[in-house]
Amino acid sequence: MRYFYLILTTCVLLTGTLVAAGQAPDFKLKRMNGGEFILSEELKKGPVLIDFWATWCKPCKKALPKIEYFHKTYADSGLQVVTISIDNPKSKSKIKPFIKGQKYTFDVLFDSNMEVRKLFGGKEIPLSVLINSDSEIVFKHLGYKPGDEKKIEEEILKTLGIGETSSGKDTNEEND
Amino acid sequence: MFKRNLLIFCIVVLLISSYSTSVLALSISITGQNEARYARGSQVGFEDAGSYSYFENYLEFNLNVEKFRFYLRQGYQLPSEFSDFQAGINAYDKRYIQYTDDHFSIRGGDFYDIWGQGLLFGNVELRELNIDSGLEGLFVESSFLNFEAAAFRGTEQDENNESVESAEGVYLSHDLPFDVLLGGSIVRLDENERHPIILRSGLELSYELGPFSLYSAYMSDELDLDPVKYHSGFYMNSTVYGSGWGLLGEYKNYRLYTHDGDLSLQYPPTAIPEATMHLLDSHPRTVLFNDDVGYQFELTLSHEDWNAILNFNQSSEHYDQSLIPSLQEEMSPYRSLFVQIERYPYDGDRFVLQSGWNEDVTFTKTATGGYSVWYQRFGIGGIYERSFSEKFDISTDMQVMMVNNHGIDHKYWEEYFSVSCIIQPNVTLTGSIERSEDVDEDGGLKCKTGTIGGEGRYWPSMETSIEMSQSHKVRVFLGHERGGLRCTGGSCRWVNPFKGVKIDMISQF
Repeated sequence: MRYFYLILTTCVLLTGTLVAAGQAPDFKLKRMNGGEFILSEELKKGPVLIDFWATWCKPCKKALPKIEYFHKTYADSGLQVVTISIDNPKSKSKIKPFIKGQKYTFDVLFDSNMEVRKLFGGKEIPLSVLINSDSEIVFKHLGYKPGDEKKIEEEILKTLGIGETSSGKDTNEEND
Repeated sequence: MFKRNLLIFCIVVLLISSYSTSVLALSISITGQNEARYARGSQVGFEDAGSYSYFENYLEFNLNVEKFRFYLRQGYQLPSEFSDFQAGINAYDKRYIQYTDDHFSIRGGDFYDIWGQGLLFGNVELRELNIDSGLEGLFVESSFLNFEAAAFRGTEQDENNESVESAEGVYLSHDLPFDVLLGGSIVRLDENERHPIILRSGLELSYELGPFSLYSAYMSDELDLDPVKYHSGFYMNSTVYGSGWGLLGEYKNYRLYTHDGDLSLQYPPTAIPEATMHLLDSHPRTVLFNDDVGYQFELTLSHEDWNAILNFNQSSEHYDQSLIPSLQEEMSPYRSLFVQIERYPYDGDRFVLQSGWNEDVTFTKTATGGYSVWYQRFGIGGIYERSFSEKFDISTDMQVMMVNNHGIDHKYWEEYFSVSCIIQPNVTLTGSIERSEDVDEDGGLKCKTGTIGGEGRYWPSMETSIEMSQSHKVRVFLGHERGGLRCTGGSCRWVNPFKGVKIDMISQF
């Protein structure tokens, strides 16, 4: 009988999801450089790419140079890139010297008790979430391995309406 | 009763979702995840030898309707990899309802929070360590002008859903001129059996001046005993950075109250490095929060495609109230040095060179004096990643570590090698092998030839990770897994060696 309820629960939740799927939950977090980040306010300026990471997470740190690249390359096209550190008190003090030491220029937010990470389901990292200016989650990617940045970039270009991957552009430029 | 509630809850969720979006046109979002974990195999050595299996599933979701948030997590543990056995659908594992506006939020249900970097108050869930100090009750937060305030009242429950501790607390901080922040808190912990009533008061102070920042926190526990007993803790860190470099310094001085080695609603910084090299991380230092003094420095550098990390830390007990860590054997000293140099161009091969050394002494007092478990370890390794084509990448990780067990005057080697093939875009295949000549190790397979001629054991394994879609990911592990201590933030759990298959599946929506 319990499996009946398990299936029922899952079906109802999935149905509920279909009704309201894709909308990003709003949240407010403190910025490393001072001030507050409110997602709904930032979305008024354009799409937002969120990357969850921590100083102890090796794949997360591998992904950060790619995140920095997106920040530098697509800021002029309207993309806002923020990273959210879920470092707890044990490692929170390492965030600032690490970010500054690596010369990263993207925005860093603190989510020490993982409240915001859990809003997006689960607590595994790295997690990349791309949200368009209508507050819809257009892309969500868990984990990082070499090559994943291409998938993320394709989605960024689609969201920004540019429609061509940078590798595609390069090819075209070379052909030209 | 539970089933009826479950059914009602699900229907309410569905109705709210449908009605809110279609009729009221409210801003609504639902996100969630399902994680299923399964294993079948056997464990060897120690107490739990023999066949071993688990199946656990966690379904969680968030429903956000305007300023209201509903959270639910439902777990089945038949049993869990990390301990508990719960047959069938037993409970809503975690749930809360929260209202948030610009300056105020109130939550009823389960909550976690951290004050004063975890020294003043901190409750966390570390499922992989079977630690959950979550409270259930009411939590209120507010910010106005330059003040921030929080207050809670809740109870901690054991696996049988029986209340084992009640706690209440209040926190207030104020942003002062010149980037100075001053905060303070009072927490009262009341529990009948595990410890006496504790009244904890704490203060925190932070200061920022351009690239320089300073943070410090102090707390004191007053235990309701006759005579009254006190415990205290102090922590501070300072960071400074420039163009392409950052430096962190941390200092800790703890005499915290512990019950059977566990802290009571605290989660303070350890000031010990984590996540360095696989082999060094396999032998973590256990932090003795009831008597610990130490410091840590970490320098981060970067230049073009190159970056480097240099970490040094030292800690010990301090019976004599010393403010600096001691190197005397009776003080259980620990020292470590770690260096990492990495070259990581945006489009190109990634190369990492790592090296670390540590000395770890644990002294145990006896009637006749005492004895030490004393290890020295030195490891060196490298990671190389290369992209052969748009469809194929390879990553290798090779490490070797020399260990000197002074207690039995035994020197031996440990080695680790792994290779991952990434078949774009969705498949990663990893093969790894770990070997040790430690005579205390168990499990794995025996090998007769060691680097320095001794007998040893090795643990071969294969792992496949498949991203079936943007939202579904499966990981299959097959082979031998080395046992040992697994630690996160100073909290540890012993894991027996394992042989068999493990399957994890994560679905997000």
